[in-house]
Amino acid sequence: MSKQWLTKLMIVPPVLALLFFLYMTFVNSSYEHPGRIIYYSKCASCHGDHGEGTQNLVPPIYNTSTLKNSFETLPSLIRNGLKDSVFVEGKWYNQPMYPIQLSSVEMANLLNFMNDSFLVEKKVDFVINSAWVETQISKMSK
Amino acid sequence: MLRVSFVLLSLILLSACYTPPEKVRVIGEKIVVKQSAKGEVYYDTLSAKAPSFCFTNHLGKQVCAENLDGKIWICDFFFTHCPSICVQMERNLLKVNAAFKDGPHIVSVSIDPARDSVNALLSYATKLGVANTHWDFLTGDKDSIYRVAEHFLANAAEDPNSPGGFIHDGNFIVIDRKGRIRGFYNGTDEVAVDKMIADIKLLQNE
Repeated sequence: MSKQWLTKLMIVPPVLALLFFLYMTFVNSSYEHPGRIIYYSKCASCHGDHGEGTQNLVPPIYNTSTLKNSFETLPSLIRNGLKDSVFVEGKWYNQPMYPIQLSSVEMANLLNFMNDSFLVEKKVDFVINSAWVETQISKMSK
Repeated sequence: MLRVSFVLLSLILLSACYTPPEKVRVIGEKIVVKQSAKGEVYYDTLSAKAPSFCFTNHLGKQVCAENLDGKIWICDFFFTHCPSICVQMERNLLKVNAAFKDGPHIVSVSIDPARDSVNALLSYATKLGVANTHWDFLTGDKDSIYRVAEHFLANAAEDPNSPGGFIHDGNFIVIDRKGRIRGFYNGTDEVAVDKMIADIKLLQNE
C-alpha cells in the first residue's frame, strides 16, 4: 500500500465530516418565521398546514383573493370570530369560527407570516407591528 | 466454567431481544354472567360491551349498535355548530379514512340534536365529502345520546359558557368486532390519532 493512499485516507474523511457538520449547522440555523408557530398552533387545525382549508367545511386561506382583499379586516375577524357565512374562491362556507385569543404582538407576527408565506404577491410591503393591528381593530369597531 | 457462564450470559442477553407481539387492551370492568348449557349452570366472565343504541343517521336511516357487530368502529361526539375542536377531529378522521382501504366504520354522534336534524347532518357530511361512505352522522333523542356518551365515559353536556354552548372532550373511542371497547384516543392530537390507526390495524388482524 502506497504512502500517498494512506495520507488520502487520513485527510479525506475528516474533511468530509467537517463539511457535513458545517452543512448541518447551516440547515438547523435556518430562519423560522415567528408567525408560523402561531399559525400552526392556532389556525392549522382547521385551515390546514398549508392554508388549504378542510373540504367544503372550512375555507382555504392560501393565496385566496379573500385574504388579499380583506387583509385589513383580519385582526378584528381573528379576535372576534366569525358567525356569518363567508364567500371564498367561488364557494360559500358557513362553519362558525371562534374568537382566537392573541395579543397584538402575536397577531402582528401571524399577519406578517400570512403576508410573507400565503400570498404569492404580497399585500403589504412593510412589516406589520402591534400598533397597526390595534389601529385596524379600532377602525372596524367604529 | 468460563465457557458455560459465557453461554448463559449470551442467552440472557439474547432473551432481551425478544419482544412479545403487540396487543390492544380491552377496556372496562369484567362482568360475571350466569349461564347455562346442557342443563348445567355455570358462571362466565365477560368483557364490558359498548352501550346499545338506535339513532338516525344523516341519510334518515336507523343505525343501531347491533348493526355494527362484526365491524371495527370508531365513535366520537360532536355537533355541527361546534366552533372549536370538532373540525380538527373531523380532519383527523378524514386522515384515518385515508389510512385504510376498507376503513373502520365511523360513528359521529351529535350532542346537539335540537339543532342537528337529519338535513343539517346531511349538509355537514356533504361538505366533508363523506356523505356516501362508511361514516354515519347520528342524531336522536337527547337523553339517550347523553346516556350513551356517559357509558363511553365521554364528557358531553350543555354549557352556556363554552363556545357553541356545549362541552365535550373530543375523544375517539374504538370498538372491536365483538363490541368491546378497545381504546380512547385524543381526537385533537395527531400522535394519538396515529397510535389509533396502528391499534386498529392490530385489531383487524385479530
